[in-house]
Amino acid sequence: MKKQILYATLVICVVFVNGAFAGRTWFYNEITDSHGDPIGPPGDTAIGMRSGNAWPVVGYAGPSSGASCMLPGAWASGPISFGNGRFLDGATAPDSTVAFVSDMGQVVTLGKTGWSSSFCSSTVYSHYKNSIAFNGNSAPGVLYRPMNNNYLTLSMKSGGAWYASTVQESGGPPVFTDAYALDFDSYNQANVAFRYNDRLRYATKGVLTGNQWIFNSIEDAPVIGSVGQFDMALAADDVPYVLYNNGSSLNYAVYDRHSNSWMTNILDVLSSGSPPGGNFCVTADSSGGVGVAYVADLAGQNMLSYAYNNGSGWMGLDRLVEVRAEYTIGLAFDYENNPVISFVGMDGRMKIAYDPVPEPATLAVLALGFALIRRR
Amino acid sequence: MNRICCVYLLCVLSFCGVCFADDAFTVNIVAYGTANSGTVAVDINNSPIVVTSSLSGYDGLSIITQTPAGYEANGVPDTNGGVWPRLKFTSNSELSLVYLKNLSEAALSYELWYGSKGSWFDWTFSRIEGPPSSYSSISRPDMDLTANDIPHIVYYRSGGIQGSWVFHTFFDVHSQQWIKEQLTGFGSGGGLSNLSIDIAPDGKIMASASNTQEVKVAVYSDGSWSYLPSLQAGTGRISSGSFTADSLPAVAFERSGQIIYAVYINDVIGWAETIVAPVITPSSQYSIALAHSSTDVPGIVYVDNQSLMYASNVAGGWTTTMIDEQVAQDAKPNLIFDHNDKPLMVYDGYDECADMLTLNIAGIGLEPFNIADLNKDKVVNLHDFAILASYWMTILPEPDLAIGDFDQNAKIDALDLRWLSCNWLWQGE
Repeated sequence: MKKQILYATLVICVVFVNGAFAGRTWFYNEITDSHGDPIGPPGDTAIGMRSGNAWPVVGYAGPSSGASCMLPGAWASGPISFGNGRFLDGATAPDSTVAFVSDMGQVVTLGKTGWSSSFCSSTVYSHYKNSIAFNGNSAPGVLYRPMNNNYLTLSMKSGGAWYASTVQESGGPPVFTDAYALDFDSYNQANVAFRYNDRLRYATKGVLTGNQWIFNSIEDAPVIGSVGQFDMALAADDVPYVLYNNGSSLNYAVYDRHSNSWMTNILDVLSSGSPPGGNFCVTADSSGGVGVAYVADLAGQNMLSYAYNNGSGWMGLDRLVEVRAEYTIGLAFDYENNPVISFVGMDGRMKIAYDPVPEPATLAVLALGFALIRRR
Repeated sequence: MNRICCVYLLCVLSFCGVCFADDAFTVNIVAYGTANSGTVAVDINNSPIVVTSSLSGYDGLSIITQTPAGYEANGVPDTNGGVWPRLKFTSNSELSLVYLKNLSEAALSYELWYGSKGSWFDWTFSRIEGPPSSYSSISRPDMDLTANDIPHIVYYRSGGIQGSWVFHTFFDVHSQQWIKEQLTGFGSGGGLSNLSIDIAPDGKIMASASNTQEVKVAVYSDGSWSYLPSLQAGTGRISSGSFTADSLPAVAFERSGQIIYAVYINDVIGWAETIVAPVITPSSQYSIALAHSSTDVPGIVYVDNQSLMYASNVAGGWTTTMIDEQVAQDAKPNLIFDHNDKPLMVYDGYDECADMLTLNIAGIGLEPFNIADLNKDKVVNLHDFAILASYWMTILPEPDLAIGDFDQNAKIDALDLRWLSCNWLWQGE
């Protein structure tokens, strides 16, 4: 009896702390057409969650391109192609609209009225990963650089049309950059992170800045990373997490509101086979935490990995499966804040990894404990 | 002074007229010759969409919409043998459909199928479950969607003389599989009938069924099913379940010649019952449906002595309205509240004049429709007779309802004239 109580206490303790440290149970599902055949050759992917924030939608670009959404029992492909576009970025709106943007500025959207396609600008400089995000009114914005002047530009969609404005401090010079990311905060302000003169920079524009761009340096150290490898998400209290490539490492910068300063650190070793669009993705969930999906270099293996930060620290690290590192990956959260990652497996098939609860470590301890009790 | 009185009287009459007009049910026949139940949902524009089976000319499910010319039926592809449909709209305005597929008409062996359709993709189907050798068939599915558009379905696995077992299934997006589980608290036995499922906005799920002794209710909450105390039922085996707006489980059922409405308050108080109305003869085990409006008004459709009745409780008392004087013996009503919180139902009716079973729709604010109103002026009169008479005894290349070939035998004859006369002076306004 005492042992049973001891075991129960142990289980409670392990369950309590397990959420912080245990690995997850990941399901892997191949994205196939209605006949069960894989959808096209491998390519870049991005992901969002539609219809009640429960159903994954995967955008894919490359030799074949388009987007496919999960239905009960099957995947249904959308009618729109990304053409020669690549390096997709995806976002989910508060009303469960999903949108993807390609390096050519094509925005493909799946909402209540079905699929639609438009270009955020006719002069997007391709071969760089553009960044898409929705504001609180479910209006999409795309951060890109135009072909004519290369100045970092934010284009917002309103009433069916796109309206572009240059990211530029009042009286300051425009930004010339090749790596940038966008998100909207709880005040519907645009927050952008970008590389400028080999420095990480951050800018905000909205109601709290008098509708002017206000710039803020993130880090003084030069950034060595490859072109276009940049992503960001806003966690609880609008705390920005900026992920970027710094040589062979995946770094993050987070703004500490206690010290009113930026902190930077190394998260992991990044795969060397990264595409220009980057093979990492950071997304915030509805609880205010942020998840990072990326392809790590694990003793020469390109290992899909996942890390989660609940605002007080990183909650362990998952190594999922070996993947093709040359394609972009996507990360989204469902309505229960379960992460979903889109990627291309070693077999060249496009897949998603989905993580429901409970965690296997918890189950293992429970099983071990019950086995011990039964043996007595 | 007389003018003031006159204006006052007109205002009162106008006001009352509006009230009555708003509360009046319109009954339309949407299809002839169907007897396998229909299901109704409203789209984003609050327009009713009906799915039913066994319409003449298509051996499968049909989806019916109202157009200016009348009700238009289109076959749902790849649903041959489909019966007992249940339809919902997702939050993305996509159709979500569950139905049975008859594998062999002789053996009456059914599979459980799910279909969905969006504005941009055609019908996509998945087979949920078929009848393996251990049990003979699947029957009486009902479906509801969570706030996140996850379909949940309850159904019977029937094992012939061994009885029936109630199962619950839902589509798990993580594993991309239908997860199935038996609701063991319902027990087994062949007497269970009229399964229903409802999902509250807070995610609770309830399933209910009845046999000749009791009504059984199961509630899913916090990761597990629990079974509420059973309610004593009548011999009619009619029951239907729905959550109140406060997520309390409620059922409507027949007992001792009365329709009863019961709400489960909590584990201490238990069920709180009220008598809705007396019934002379509840016609069959499929003849009741319960739903709640978003403002927590319960609505109950039931059959009493071959008439379809609607009961609601707005201010603490039940009021009943006769919807249709004569309906099919197994009316199988399907009741919802539309986006304006008005009750809307489909059921199996009966057209005495045509001597045919029909699928009817009844609701408040429906556009009136009569098949004999050939010129669509909302009245059946000499103008319609003139259209029919102009084709009198004409042999048509194919059936044409628009000119009065009501029985669709490709000939305008006395049978069609009889049909017109049955609806003579019908007015839709």
